[in-house]
Amino acid sequence: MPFGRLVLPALLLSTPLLSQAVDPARTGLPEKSAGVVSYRIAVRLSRGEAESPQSLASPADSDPGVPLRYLNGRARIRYRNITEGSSSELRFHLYLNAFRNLRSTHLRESERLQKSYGSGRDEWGNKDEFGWIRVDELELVSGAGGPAEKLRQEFISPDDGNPDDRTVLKAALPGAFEPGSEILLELRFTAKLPKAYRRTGWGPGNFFMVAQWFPKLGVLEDGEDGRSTWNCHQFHASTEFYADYGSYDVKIETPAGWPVGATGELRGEVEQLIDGYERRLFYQDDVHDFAWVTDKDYKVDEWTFEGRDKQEPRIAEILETKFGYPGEQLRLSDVKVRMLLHPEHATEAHIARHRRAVEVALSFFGSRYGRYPYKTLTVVDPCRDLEWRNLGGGMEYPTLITCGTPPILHSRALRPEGVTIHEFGHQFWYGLSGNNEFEHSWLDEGFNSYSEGRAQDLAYNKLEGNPPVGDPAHVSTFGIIPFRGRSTGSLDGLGSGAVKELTTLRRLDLEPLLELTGAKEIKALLESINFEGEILPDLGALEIIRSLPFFTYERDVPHRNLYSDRARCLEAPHTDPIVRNAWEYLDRSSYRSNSYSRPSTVLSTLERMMGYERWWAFARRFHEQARFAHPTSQDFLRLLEEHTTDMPEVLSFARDAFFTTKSLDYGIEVRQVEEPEAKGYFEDAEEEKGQGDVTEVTVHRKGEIVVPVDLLFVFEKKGLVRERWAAEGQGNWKRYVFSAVQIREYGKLREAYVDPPDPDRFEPYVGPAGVYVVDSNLLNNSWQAKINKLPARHHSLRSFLWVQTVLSFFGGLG
Amino acid sequence: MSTGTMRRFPSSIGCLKLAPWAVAQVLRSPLALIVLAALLWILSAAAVLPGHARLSDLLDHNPLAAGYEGRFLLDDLDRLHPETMVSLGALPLAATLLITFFAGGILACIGITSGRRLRVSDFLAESGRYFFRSLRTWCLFLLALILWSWAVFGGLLPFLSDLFLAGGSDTRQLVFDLGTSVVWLLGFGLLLALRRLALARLVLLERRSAVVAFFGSIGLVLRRPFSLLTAFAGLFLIWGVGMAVVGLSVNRFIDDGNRLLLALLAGMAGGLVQQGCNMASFVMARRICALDLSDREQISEPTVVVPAGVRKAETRPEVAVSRP
Repeated sequence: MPFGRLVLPALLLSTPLLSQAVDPARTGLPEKSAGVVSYRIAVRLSRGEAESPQSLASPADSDPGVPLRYLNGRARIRYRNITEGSSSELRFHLYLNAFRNLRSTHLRESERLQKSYGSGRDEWGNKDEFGWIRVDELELVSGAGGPAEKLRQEFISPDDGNPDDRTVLKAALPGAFEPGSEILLELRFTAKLPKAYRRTGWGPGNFFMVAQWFPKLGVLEDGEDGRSTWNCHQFHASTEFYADYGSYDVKIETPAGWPVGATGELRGEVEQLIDGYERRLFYQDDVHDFAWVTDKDYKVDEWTFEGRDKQEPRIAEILETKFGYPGEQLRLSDVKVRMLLHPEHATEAHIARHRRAVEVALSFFGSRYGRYPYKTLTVVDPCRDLEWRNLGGGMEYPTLITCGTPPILHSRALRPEGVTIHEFGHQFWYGLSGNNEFEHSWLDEGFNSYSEGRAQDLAYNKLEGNPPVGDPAHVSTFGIIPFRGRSTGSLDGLGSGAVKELTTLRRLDLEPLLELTGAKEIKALLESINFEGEILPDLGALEIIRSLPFFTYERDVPHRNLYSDRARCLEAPHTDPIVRNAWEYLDRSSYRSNSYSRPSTVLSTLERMMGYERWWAFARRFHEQARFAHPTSQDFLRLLEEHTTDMPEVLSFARDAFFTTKSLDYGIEVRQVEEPEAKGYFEDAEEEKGQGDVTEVTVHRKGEIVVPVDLLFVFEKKGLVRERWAAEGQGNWKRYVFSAVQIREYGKLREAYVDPPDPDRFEPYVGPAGVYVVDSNLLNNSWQAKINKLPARHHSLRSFLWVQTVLSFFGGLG
Repeated sequence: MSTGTMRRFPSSIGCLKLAPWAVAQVLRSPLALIVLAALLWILSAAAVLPGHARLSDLLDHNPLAAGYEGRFLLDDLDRLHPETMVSLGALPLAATLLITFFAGGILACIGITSGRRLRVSDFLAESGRYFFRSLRTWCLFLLALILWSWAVFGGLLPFLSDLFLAGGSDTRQLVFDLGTSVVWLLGFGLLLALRRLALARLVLLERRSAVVAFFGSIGLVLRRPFSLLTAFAGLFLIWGVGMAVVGLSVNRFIDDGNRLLLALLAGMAGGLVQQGCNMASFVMARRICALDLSDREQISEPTVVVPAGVRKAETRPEVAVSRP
């Protein structure tokens, strides 16, 4: 069908004008988005640029010897101004230009992150590895002073002023784009895909991940002085999503016989074209992005998730009680799941574990936040990128997720489950709740990490199923071979550089040795033959022989997301508050901590502070208000305040945790104070005998965050005694003194806890954390009179065996 | 015919007997074995005990530290108390030097003495006498290892990866990773064997040139590749089985009610297995060299009995080499 005769979806015209800001009065799940934008795109994966403006095909398409690198596309975009002001311009994301050259903002930031975090790409090869996108024609068909022949285009860099960055395109309109009005644009674009990097591009073999691939409009927001402004950020190394909800109608042309996965539903039949290509139409309403993927080698597995009876009963009861939702309204919908797997990952075990993970995710997120509203979900097994890591590990796009899969699975390691559930969770926190990821990255990554962690901890608490999976433990990997255990030591020491590397045989790197000896000539010679210095990478096989992990590693070290998130967030220094523009965090470590693990840990703490029922009612309501909207951190706090009017400490804690770098740490110290000996003057024998020993328990507040904390004392005769240290007027410490009289009555103090763990209150209960999961030191939260040397000895035994084995290995070199 | 009285170089299959023979020789000199193992136990304890004291301070009075879930506290230990984590520092270097020092003593004393107990003073004296020869062969080994690693990871691997990994599948990646690791490890093992054979030649022939000894050993390897492979593979097998038994015992003792003392004893037995096999590798290298020299030069029969405590000059070689 000729492009110009494409019919606009009737849905768009019938959608009422709705704001995408959070509606504080909203209760219940909205059925539809505001439908602000509509994209109708035709695109071809091609071997060259289109031969004419009327065609998507290239003359090279008939030559299979020419690699597929280009996207030739045309688009018709309809956009409505739902703000209260007008605008005289448009702004588009042209994010493939992030890979145009090394001076783009994305790659400059990546280079910086690489240095600070060790991630990113070591080097770029020839020009073929770079990518770009170009808008060949941009025409205003109607609205805002149109029609105009062509719109003037200009690249801008609103975030950092980088003149080399071409990821944001500004187009001047001939007239004002008035509130409530609509514009219709037509455009033609050409893109060249980069070699796979950061989730998009061509990979080894026949893999193509096509994301951030078309000119996508930014978000027009209410501004000052009656003018509306575009929120359209450059492509940064850390974050990339913010767009309006709407409909996508995308025709994709690929070489015949290649499986294609894409956002939305496949509509109609696959159309065979005469030049060895085929065309598919994918359609989806109420999403804010579109991605697709193809690989000649994919194996396809399709099945249907049946939502009936998958609602969690306890949550349903809470929602019925709190909000009066009838059971029928809470029922989950059926979803057609399509999995595209590389042949080596299409084993029965891989498929079964992916399936169970998707079912866990659909059930958990649907039950707690509201049913998944789309009919399809495509689960993609990505290829490896240039450095043979899984391409992005996992990534989210509307109704399409990529899930990095290890080739060898381990029953106690939740891979691929973790990434599958995480990426699915983004359908809710990123997809349905469309926060501005650039400015509030924690709202999607943090909320999702928290939810994903809870889903895993709940569903995989025990080793069960077929194949059996669960009770996750620390699993180390040697190369790609998973191995249960946790090393008790490290080979580090002896300063740094060549001596250490030589003596530990961890890896051999000549460069520091040459630096050390000042052998400039040899160094120059090595450089002349492109020798990079490293002659022995850290070999997994060597590691196995060197440390015999089955013998020396701590074997049963449990792994739960609650604690791994906590450990990750506490490892990173608190250099930034959680709420901050994502590209303005100090470094990659700070971004990751403040967007993922720290908000996740704070949310776990909030859940425990508020209690299960109140929290899940709140979380449900927040998602309802955020669904098909652009929520902000302030929206979250406003609703939290509404739900915790009788618990002011919750809001106070949330403000500290999200907007400051303050930490939380409570500790306990116990001292038995002996009665002083009877020296000096005494009136009588009874007085001389004395009262007896006194027990002092001192609770310390070592962090800056002030919250009320529970204390638990266990006495030999009396049993449990509970106290609460209130937040009001709380100092740095408080001492509880149990007099000799009390000790005689209660018996000796056996155990003491500040913020004790409580199996009856927390779901799922595991480990030593109490309410404040975010407490930075759990080692000082408890005390017992009895000495138990077993834990320390156990740990030291493994350490001893590890050292002995490592030294024997190095002795063997002697 | 026992290995000890072999006159000709055995067949490849016959070489399988060399490893158990060498282990038996080591076990006949338990003092040397215990001295070496004890030195490594002392080093290991020195690395662990300071951290253990601190660990004990932190965990002994903590009711949440016990049991499976108590191990969630390990993250806090690592983060807040790095002093409880074992860090080896220069100990690997010390271990390497230690065995380099004793290598000459092992070659000169173990499996040669008969009828009289090995004296520690002799063992130390012989170790000292051959130390610099041992050090020279070790330096050559290190140099060869660097060159070999460079050849595999600097030359072969990039070349092969372009050819082999174009398809992008994990299976290929796995095969490639394992393949290159195995190739490197084979070379690594060969160099370890060469270093032992070279030192054995120096001790047997009372020569000083490590380079010549290394090339002589390369010649031996080229002449008898399969025999050497089976001999050292046999020893590797004994080591593997020994460590598997020890590992299973340790885990069993820990899993079944935290019988830590038994686990510790079993683990220390693992140290004996490792040191025993390492010493046996030197003894076996000397035997291989002796048989090869005897076989090639068709001289008097190899003898295995050297009275302990008698000066080497008088009774020197295990093989009496007569020169034309």
